[in-house]
Amino acid sequence: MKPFTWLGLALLLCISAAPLWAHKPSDSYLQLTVEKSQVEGRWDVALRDLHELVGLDPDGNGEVTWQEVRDSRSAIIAATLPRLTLRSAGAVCDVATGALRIAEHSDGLYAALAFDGQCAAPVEQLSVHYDLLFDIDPSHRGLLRLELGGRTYSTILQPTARQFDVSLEQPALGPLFWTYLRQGAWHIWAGFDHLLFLLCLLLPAVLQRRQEGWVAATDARRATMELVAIITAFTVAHALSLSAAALDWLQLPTRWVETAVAATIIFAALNNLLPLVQRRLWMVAFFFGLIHGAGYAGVLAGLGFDAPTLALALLAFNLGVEGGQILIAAACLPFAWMARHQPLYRHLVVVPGSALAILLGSWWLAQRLFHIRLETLL
Amino acid sequence: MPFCLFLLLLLLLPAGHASVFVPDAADTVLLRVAPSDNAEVQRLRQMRAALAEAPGRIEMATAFAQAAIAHARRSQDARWYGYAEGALRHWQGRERVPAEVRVLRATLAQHDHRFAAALQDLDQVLAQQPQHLQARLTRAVIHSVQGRYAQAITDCNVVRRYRVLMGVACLATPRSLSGEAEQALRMLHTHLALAEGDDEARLWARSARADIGWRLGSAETEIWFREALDSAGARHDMALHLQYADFLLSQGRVAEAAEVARAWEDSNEGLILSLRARMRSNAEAPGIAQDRRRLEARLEAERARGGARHFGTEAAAALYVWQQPARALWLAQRNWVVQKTPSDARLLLRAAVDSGQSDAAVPVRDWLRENAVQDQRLQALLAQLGQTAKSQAEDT
Repeated sequence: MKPFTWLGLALLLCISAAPLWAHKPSDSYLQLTVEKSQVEGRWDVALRDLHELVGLDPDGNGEVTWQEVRDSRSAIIAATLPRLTLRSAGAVCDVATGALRIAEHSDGLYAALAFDGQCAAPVEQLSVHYDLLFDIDPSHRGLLRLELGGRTYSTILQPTARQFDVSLEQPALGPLFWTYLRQGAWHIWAGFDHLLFLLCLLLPAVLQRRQEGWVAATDARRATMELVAIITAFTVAHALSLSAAALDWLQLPTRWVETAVAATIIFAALNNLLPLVQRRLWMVAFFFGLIHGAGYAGVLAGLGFDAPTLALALLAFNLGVEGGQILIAAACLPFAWMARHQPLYRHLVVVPGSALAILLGSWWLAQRLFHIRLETLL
Repeated sequence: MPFCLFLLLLLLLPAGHASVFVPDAADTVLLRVAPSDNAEVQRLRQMRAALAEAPGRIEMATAFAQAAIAHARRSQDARWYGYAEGALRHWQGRERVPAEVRVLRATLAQHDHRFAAALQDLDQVLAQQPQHLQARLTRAVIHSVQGRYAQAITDCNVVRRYRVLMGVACLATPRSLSGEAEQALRMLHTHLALAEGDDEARLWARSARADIGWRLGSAETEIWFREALDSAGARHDMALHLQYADFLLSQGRVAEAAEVARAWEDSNEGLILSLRARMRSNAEAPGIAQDRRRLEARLEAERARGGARHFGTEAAAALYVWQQPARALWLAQRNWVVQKTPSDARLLLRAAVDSGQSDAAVPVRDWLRENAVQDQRLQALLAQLGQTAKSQAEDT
């Protein structure tokens, strides 16, 4: 390896660094339309790629003619179709080739190969496995467009994702709504940090802060409304960031979000002991709701729903979250209200409860921030 | 609201399927390829076939990858970058990767604008072999493109010890962008006059001289561009030709600019420059509407295949071809995060001027100040922006 040729390579990177050398890399366009047990297909493969695979210029004059493409038909089919496998319910669908024509795309002409797939039974689930050119050109991409059951799916097939699975069954909307409503409410119970944060906001709701310290609230209606405002602000914000995460618009590093969640708990509990924020607590709840929502990115992502179904699932989930919080609040509030005059409530519930929350929150914070594991300390 | 946006996104997805046809005649030519007597392509195919029999043979794999990259560069056929990547795939995900494989992999990553991945490989190579000149050069270029001039200079200085003119050419850009433009020019003059180095080093040094000359507003810029274009190997150099076309355009020599750019219309950058030049003389001229559609379809096809977006190219298209300054500014700002060359700066400032957003210039202003960059074109744009800001302030 002479240094001379090595150095030559540098030049393609250099010289005032023009943005890029932009001739498009290789793509193929695959369209599949499923109708009962039939799969109608069209596959546009660049003539340039086919020339690399089978040699489309047998006379070697540098010009690929329509005649030469037609004559290479069986070679083209042999080089392409075995690289595409359609499976329905585990069984491979038989594929028969149809017309070979030409298609024009933005970067030149493609061979457009029509084919028909015959699956054993009406297709409810289809797997497309794609393996064209990846062995010699990992930058090749297969752009798949698939129509099944009145829906259109698009995906990019690549060396790291050679298979695409799609299923006809979209869940019925009624049961789906209930499922996600329940999941939303359950999400409150299951996430202990979420619950703890909520309790920190709840504990002092029946009290009012005065110069001399906490005193019992006098107006039950006002106390309830304030609490509902806090919970609703939290849910709305939570719904916003959760939806953004589920739609993949918001991607934050999990570790930082979870650390921030722990920090919100510390803040909320600390606020019960030392007055940091006393008025417009709902604004604090809103801001913290954004953080908590972002932490649940995984809950609804990657479910493979179409847009209306996903929207319904998100709505149900968020209603479930709100409902679950209201239920917890409704269960606690009467007891707290009755106990509010007892100094014990303040000294044995609010103060120790908040202190405990601060401890737990700090432990989570340290754990998430520095990756500390309990086992390693013990 | 998110739902509506989501639907809108779905609607914006490309149709991706062109109409099909059967050619009129059997002898219709559909594609031009290298004829069978093209020795270079024959040799490449033989190398690839031999490699397919012995995938882990490092000297065969690196020789093919290197030849494929060189061919991709000459022929402007991006598929050969993919074939080069294919030859190196054997080492993907392995812990022990030979230095030569890392350097080639970094070259491909750099080409694909994956700078972080490229730097990771190069840092590893240079930690073990500090004198690896190719790794030094490639890393110097990335540092320079991303605005880390001191680090670029360190790498170039190592190259200079072994290959004087190559090192000088390497040094010229980062030095010229850190307050030493005149010195960089003098250094290039001196070493070019000594007639040392090989063709590639000379081409690079001459190109750098023209580039710096243009930034400084030198009267000799035209001569320097000519000398670079007359150098051996310049014929295949798209960046140089397009930069010259850009220079001609800045001098109001529209017809000449269109002529130079026309030969590179197969690339998006070439097509954008050609359209800019032709639209300057007559926006309604025949062929322009068709070429705009062609550009749009190409950019769309690139987005459809996923991967890293080339914000700079998209910004230039939005700014000059579609004349959407606000969108161009958004794209140019994203581009500025990734790379910081004077041409990226120009794009951002021009978009800021056209959209009347003087605040958007702050990052470029900071870059200019922090590095003491000398560039008359950028200063002129900043002055224009200052005017805009002033008249805006007077309006309110």
